Amino acid sequence: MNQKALEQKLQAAFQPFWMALENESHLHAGHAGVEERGGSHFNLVMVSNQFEGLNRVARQRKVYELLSTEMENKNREGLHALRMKLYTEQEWQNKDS
Amino acid sequence: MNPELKAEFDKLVQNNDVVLFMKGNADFPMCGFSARVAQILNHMGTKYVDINVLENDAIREGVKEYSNWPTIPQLYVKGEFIGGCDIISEMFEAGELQEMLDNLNAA
Repeated sequence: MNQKALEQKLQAAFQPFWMALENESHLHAGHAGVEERGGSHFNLVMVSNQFEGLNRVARQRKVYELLSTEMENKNREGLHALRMKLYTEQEWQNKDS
Repeated sequence: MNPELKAEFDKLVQNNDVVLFMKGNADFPMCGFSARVAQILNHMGTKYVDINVLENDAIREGVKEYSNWPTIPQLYVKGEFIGGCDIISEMFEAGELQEMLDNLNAA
């Protein structure tokens, strides 16, 4: 899964106030031998007002819906796992640290 | 989805307070994300039913459709889909998961 393409897709759909996408695939190389397919692991932190009024499940579903083609692709080019932390601007600014 | 399979899922999540669909089982998780959720539930002393999706392709693919959620693990409490690994981790860290499960025991 091409990181640049993924970033552009997220950027266009969510117009995030802030976004960080990290490729973690190297951490999962050959994990437990149960994943017959390859595919990438990414870690996403994204701040967008499109999450306003949505609970955690609904927020992640929005991202998963955008990336459904990639999630369903069971080849090495596919997206196997996406860790997500999704915030609104308000929540992001209220976060301590 | 296939109505018989849907009925099976309904029965499973409604007849058990806490159900975890995972890769591997509670004693031997086969994926880091599943392991993390099992570890949290074990840590809190929660009684739960663990369903190993790797043992059955119909369940593995069916649960994704049933929950409208493309990844495993998936946690259900009282028939309601609560989330996957990120959400459960966040809820645990915020104390929300404890609260939800305490309410369960009180009810």
